[in-house]
Amino acid sequence: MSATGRAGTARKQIHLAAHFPGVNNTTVWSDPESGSQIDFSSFVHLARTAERAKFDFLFLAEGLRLREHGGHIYDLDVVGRPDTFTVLAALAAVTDRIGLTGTINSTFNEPYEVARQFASLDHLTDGRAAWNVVTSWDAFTGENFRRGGFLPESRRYARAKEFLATATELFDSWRGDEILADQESGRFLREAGAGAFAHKGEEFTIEGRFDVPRGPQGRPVIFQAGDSDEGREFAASSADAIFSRYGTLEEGKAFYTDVKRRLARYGRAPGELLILPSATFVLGDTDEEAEERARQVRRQQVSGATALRHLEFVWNRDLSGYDPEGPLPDVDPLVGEHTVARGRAQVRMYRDPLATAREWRELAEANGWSIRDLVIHTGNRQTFVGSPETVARTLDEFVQADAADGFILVPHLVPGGLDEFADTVVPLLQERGVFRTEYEGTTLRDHLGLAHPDAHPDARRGAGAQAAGPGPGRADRTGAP
Amino acid sequence: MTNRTAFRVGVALDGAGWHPAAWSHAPGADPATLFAQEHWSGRARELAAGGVDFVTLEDGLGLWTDRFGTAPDDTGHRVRGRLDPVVVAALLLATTGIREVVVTRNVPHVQPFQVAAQLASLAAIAPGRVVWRPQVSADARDATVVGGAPTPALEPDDVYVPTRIARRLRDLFRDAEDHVRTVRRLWATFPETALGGDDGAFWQPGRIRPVTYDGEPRYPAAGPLTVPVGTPPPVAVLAHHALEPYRLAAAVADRVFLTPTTDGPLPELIAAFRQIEALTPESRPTQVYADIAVVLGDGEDHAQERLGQLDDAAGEPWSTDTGVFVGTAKRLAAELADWRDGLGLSGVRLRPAVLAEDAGRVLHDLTPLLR
Repeated sequence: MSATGRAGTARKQIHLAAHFPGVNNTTVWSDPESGSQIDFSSFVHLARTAERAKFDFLFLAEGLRLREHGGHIYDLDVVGRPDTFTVLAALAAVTDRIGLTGTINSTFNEPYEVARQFASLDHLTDGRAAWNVVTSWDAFTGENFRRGGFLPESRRYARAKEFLATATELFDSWRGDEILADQESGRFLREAGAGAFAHKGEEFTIEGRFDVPRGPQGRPVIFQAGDSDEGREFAASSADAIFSRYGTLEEGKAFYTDVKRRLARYGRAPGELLILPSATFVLGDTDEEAEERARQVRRQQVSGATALRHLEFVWNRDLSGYDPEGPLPDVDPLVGEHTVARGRAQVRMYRDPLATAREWRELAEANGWSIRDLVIHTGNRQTFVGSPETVARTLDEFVQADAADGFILVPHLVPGGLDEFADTVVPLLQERGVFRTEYEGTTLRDHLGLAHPDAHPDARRGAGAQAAGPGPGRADRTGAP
Repeated sequence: MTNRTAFRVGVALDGAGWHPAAWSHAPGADPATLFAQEHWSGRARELAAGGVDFVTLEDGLGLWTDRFGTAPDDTGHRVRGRLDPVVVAALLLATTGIREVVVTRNVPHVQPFQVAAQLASLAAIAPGRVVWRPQVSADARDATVVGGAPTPALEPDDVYVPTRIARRLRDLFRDAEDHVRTVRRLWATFPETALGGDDGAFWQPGRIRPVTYDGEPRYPAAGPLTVPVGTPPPVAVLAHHALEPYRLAAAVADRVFLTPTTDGPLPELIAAFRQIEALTPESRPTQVYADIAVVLGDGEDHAQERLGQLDDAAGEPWSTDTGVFVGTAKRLAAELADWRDGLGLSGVRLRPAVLAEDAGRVLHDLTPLLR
């Protein structure tokens, strides 16, 4: 690569991903340009756009229960998305290089089935699978599963950690060279015991033989999204990438520094864990035009009805009698167990609702804001707003300043919301020499610059016997007649 | 009078074929590629182009075993390893024109919510092309790999007698009925027609609802499902000749695969099944399919010779959980046509002894005769 910075050193390369818009109000489903939120063709459109733009991967979130509000299914946002594995496997068939990342919960699943589906996906995608491990544990979600809400919040990372460690043991139960398939001698397996595993722990006690031979990536790339101290520690110990939420330069740098610093504790180098914040964007021919469009999008995202509901997340009481274009309620939030919104992680962010209400009233008063104005301004503003030049430069600055290693972009429109970015911003990033013009490798590990797990002999569990050199199987192969 | 064109022919995909020695007797095929995309979509594409109506995909949680996990597994001479059937199904539905994919899913160890969401999602990707086959776990080791509650173990002698298998697994069959009902209830919670409407809403209030139960289900799930459902996938049950599986099929299946053998010929099986169906409250009208393993040849002798070679390679005669047809495609076609016209058989699932060879003969020699 010819791309060098002023100092003559290679510029840090940006990683980019496309997040299929989620079931929240970021997704403007009512826009005339919006297509089906559910049809497979919409997933194909976004995946192909991202692949055409040489993105690292496509990202899918997960919802295990439809959200409720005031005892009814939440009716202002998109509902209903097909299952992650089915969409990713189907996309494997219509794409060629782009990585495919799926969010799968570690509380309500079992390691064997999840490992089996990811290992299968890694085979069928030729090494493009990734798993974003999430830890939702609440009893409300649990009602869809046999064990219900069995796990206390304090145990969710302990379970996630053991879940991932167990899945890793399963992925590693095949070394990768067991299948001989010699028709002449009739030997299919080099060793009859391939895939044997046994795990005994607090959460899981399982043993047997794993069903899926080692996939092209050894094991899928692991993402983690938690932000708590425990979540960060979990990521530092076990993840390849973090799906973070810090989209401003200063917050991003603080998070980046904090998490990367934790890596040394686990004998890992800074490059072994990528920080990829979620980011939204609005483009325009000029910065002013983009700002204007961004304002319009925010108003689409926050209708009057949505504004009242968001206020209810904090107030924890029915506010439907209030005018969203009028002033904030004079009643105080109900403190205690949250009863209005269910299946929504963000209500936990308001730890002191009375203080938040006070702060918001002051803000609204000082700025002359209505309820809707307040929600528009305090909610998530778009991360990058501007002309393609401005957005490309800002993205690059964030990455060069170590606020991120790249971004997971969430368009607000399905399925065409990434098209403009792919056509206008990506070429500018390529000109700056900070984004690939062609895929150089075939696997997601290649795209992300992550080593294959087999590249470090001691990174493998139970690898003690092989640490001195190539495994015995491999030696056999080269020595075979 | 049966409609000739409605008779449906399916091929059961599994590894290199159903005979234990299939993988070493597939000329030109590279058994090491059994886990690659091209193996699966290539096969399904050929079959679809040749007029095969459906393919089936097997489940099985632990590593492949022989005789339902009762045989020792230390040889290294068999194909081992199998991809997840939901993941393979998604690939086949998206890349091939195969009309239908029957997806097998283990019952005791996979949760109804997950089955409902994954099968409904496959159906959303390929409307009308997905069939769910719930399968009772016969291998007790499935519980130890997943970590679920222990399930009854079969004894080595059981596996040759379907009634003994069924009796030992009786509770699992009862649970399976409950599991299927929960999945079907989940499918009803979020009808595709709930989406959209004249007033500009994303979905119509009241049209998406939680599950309502009568009694205490063994497999509860609150619902609603997280994915909209158009036409729910039909349910197919593979029923070995015994009371419990027949009762399960009569109670919940849209289709049943019956396993004719020399001792239990198809007319007898169908009569027995229809009898149980008549005694089953709330039974659904069930279409009957035959499920047979096939070793095909240019002539009767050639087919026998092929089987002999395969058995020699495997070191023992082929015994499987259904009858094995050994002969010409012409004779098989005549037999199937008789069953179709005389017994009202709706279709057949063929388990090719060697996928590369026998599925090819099904395509070129058998399907034209049944059209």
